[in-house]
Amino acid sequence: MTHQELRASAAAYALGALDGAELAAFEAHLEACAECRVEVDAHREVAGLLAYAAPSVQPRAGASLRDRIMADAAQARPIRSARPAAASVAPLRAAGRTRASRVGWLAAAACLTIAVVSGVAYRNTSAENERLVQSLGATRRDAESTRVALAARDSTLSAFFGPMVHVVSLSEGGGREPSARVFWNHTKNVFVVTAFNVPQAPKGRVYQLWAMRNGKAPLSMGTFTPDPSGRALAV
Amino acid sequence: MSGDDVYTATKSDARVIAALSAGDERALGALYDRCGSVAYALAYAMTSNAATAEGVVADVFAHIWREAHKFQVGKMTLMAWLTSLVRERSLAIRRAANALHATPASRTPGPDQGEYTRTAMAPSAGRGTRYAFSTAPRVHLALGALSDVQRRAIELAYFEGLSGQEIALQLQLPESGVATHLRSAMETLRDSLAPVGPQGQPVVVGA
Repeated sequence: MTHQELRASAAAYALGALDGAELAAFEAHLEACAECRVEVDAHREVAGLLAYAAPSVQPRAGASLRDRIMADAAQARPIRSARPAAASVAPLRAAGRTRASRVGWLAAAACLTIAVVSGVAYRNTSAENERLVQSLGATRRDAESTRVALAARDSTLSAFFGPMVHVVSLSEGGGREPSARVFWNHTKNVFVVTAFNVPQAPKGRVYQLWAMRNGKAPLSMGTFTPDPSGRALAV
Repeated sequence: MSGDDVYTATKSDARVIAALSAGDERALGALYDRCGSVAYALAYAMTSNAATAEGVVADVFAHIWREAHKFQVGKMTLMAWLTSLVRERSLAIRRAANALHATPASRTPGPDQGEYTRTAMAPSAGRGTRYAFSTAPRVHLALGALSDVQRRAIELAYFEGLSGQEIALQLQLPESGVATHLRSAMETLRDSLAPVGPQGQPVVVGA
């Protein structure tokens, strides 16, 4: 297709209305064509204005949406300004209702536990654990092995903000308390757990992520270690 | 910041992004005060559920809070970014909900949703809401100037997240016709709305 022909798809692309081969062709063209990138950017600004066509409606007064947003922000301070956590392991308390249960369309069947265990090997049975039990309200998933990686890739997080991803916050009370978010890619059935403000585990200990399943033994999802700023990522 | 001309993108975007990146929570609150209403209205228009819409808005603001330091101020306005995040999140939740319900949900909207979005596109009564700023009536007017098929195509693409193929099915048009309608509609809207780009410049497109 010629540039002019492809350019005709810019509006549809900006509206997310391109699919399949057309989408691939246009995206390939975009990489090489600055004029079309400008066109797409222009259409995106117009598309943004379409939001104003939505009927004016307010959030429920009782929902305190602004307070909730501010509280979430206080817990998940921007990573770059997060301070190294204290040496002691702060107890992780169970949170209240998660977003999933508010949404209500996920059947409760599993939950995640983050535990501190001593030693990487699972041989040590006398480990002291600090346990966090959350109701995720996720559907059952089959056992799979998971990899653990340190928080590094912002692109990983961006990728999990795309379509078919549900985010559940395992949130904590308090400003500097640890918090975690689970990004669940529904189509690929992949979980990414990101944690913030996680204190460093005591020497010789690491964090272990457990999936709690109804009626079955907990399944280890691997271990992870927060980086110096208290971030961790588990896939 | 006054509600009027909320859509004027300018160096204020750069200031807001800088403040957010520095962890200034007041900037987040100010952003909510300025944009929260339209964010919620959009989320509600797309998910039809108050709790879900609130969740969408909360998630989007959390995302902005985390990712502000990576936002390229020159690429798009903060408002365009915010609304695109709301729309993307709403569509993701709707698709996930449809999948979980295990009913073969067709992606074309049923009569109810169609009715709803038609209402969404009609001029608002402006019931003295918190965000009765000038942008919304201008957008309604601009949409009113489109032909019925243009407006319907935009509505299905933007609010329903349908692809060109699905819109073609819904409107019983050839796909090429849909692409043309979308393009001419967006160009008309751009001309009448004259949005301001990230540098404060008028948004124009090469001929």
